[in-house]
Amino acid sequence: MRSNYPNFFLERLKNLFGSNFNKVIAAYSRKPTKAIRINTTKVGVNRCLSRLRAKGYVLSKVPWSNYIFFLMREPKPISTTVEYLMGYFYVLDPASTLPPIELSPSQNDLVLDMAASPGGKTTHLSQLMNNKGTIVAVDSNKERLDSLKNNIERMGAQNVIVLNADSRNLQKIGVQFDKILLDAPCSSDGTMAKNPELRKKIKKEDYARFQKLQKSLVKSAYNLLKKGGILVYSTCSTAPEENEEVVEFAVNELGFKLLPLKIGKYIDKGMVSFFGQKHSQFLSKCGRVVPFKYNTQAFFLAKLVKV
Amino acid sequence: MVLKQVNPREFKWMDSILPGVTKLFSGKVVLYDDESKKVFLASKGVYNVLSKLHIPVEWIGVFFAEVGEEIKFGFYVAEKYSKFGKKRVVVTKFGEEKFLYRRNLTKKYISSFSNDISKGDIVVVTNKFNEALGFGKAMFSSEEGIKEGTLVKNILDRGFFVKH
Ligand SMILES: C[S@@+](CC[C@H](N)C(=O)[O-])C[C@H]1O[C@@H](n2cnc3c(N)ncnc32)[C@H](O)[C@@H]1O
Repeated sequence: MRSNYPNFFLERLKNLFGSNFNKVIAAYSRKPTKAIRINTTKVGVNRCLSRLRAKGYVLSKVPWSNYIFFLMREPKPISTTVEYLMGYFYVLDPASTLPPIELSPSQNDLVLDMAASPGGKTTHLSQLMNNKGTIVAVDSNKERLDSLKNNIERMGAQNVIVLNADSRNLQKIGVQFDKILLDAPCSSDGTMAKNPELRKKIKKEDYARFQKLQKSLVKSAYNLLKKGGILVYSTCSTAPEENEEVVEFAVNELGFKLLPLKIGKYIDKGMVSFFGQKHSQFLSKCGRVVPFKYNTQAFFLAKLVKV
Repeated sequence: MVLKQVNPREFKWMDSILPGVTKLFSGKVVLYDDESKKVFLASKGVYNVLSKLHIPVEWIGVFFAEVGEEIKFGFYVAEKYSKFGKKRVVVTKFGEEKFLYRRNLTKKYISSFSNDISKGDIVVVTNKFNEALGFGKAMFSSEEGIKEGTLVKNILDRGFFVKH
């Protein structure tokens, strides 16, 4: 199964994961576990669970939330059930439920979602805000906006304004934000289990290219945040170039301060040395999800405050 | 999209199509885009942000209706209006499945209906839990009751979300 990957990629993974390398490759060859996030603005958790269980779905709670459940058995595609169509839940990778929980927006916040489509996290933020406050959800890809709008409508998110724009160029937007989520465009090399075609597509140069984009998005986030405002940065990449190095840039070059993660105990710490180089010690406050821990995609997140 | 705040009274005529539907405007700002003929609702807070933005908006939270040649109410309206108990057709388990596959309703798929339906009315189609599945056009009146043939024509149903 290793032969399916380019050599440079296997070398990287060995370097990054050391003795866990085989576990990572094994996880990339399995079907990842999906999760559902129950939309508590529309339905009670128990009611939703009992209806799905009556249809043969087997669900078990994730450790970090009481309304998010691993989907352990799916007799029929769950997105064809009436409960799905009613917007009672969103189907997603379990790890991607972490950033909105970490951002933890309140009902009075003005929140920016800088890379929003298809809206898994936008609608989660909206749920956490109980449909109050305001979310500005931006995506630069016009074709992906339909799925964002449809998810907003299906989930009954009422506090969202959708913009089609490049989040690097929002200087003239006219408002400043209390909280920002940057679920950044990335190489997505942590999603190889779900997207096996990526194994052939991934290239060495991707990491530097995405890092450049990510750094400019983080810089834009800094300018758009109010003083004291919070940024949660996340990717579905394993690459330190797209993760710790971007956070290091945010702290050292922009003046962000890195905060500890409240969901930290459920995941691994950020890397402080990689590819033979030592990096800032503070990076251990970042969080990483290795794909074999919960059988999810690989994931990264960090929480930063504009001081 | 250029969303303008409008006086809710401009849409009072909607009540002749779904009695009392403009009650749903209560406490919200009503917004209209002339080009797409779409009506949206916003909270005061959302509207406040909207009025400061210098970038054109693509969509906002509550899509209410499209008022082209024929009015097309959105899912939000179906969901809220179903709570009024008016102009309502309740479907059976199989009726639910059929309706969510864009199908029209015949007698065997209908389990009950409210007593205020006239032929040609827009009705909210719900399941036994009073969950709004969408809108239909009634081909019967409550007074006459239901007989043969197509009784509710499917206008909009949440099966729309399957492909998304
Ligand atoms: C990882 S996906 C976001 C997934 C989304 N947050 C969710 O949870 O459903 C990254 C998104 O960023 C968008 N994107 C890429 N470059 C962008 C830019 N410069 N400005 C805004 N959005 C961008 C892509 O179109 C893509 O939809």
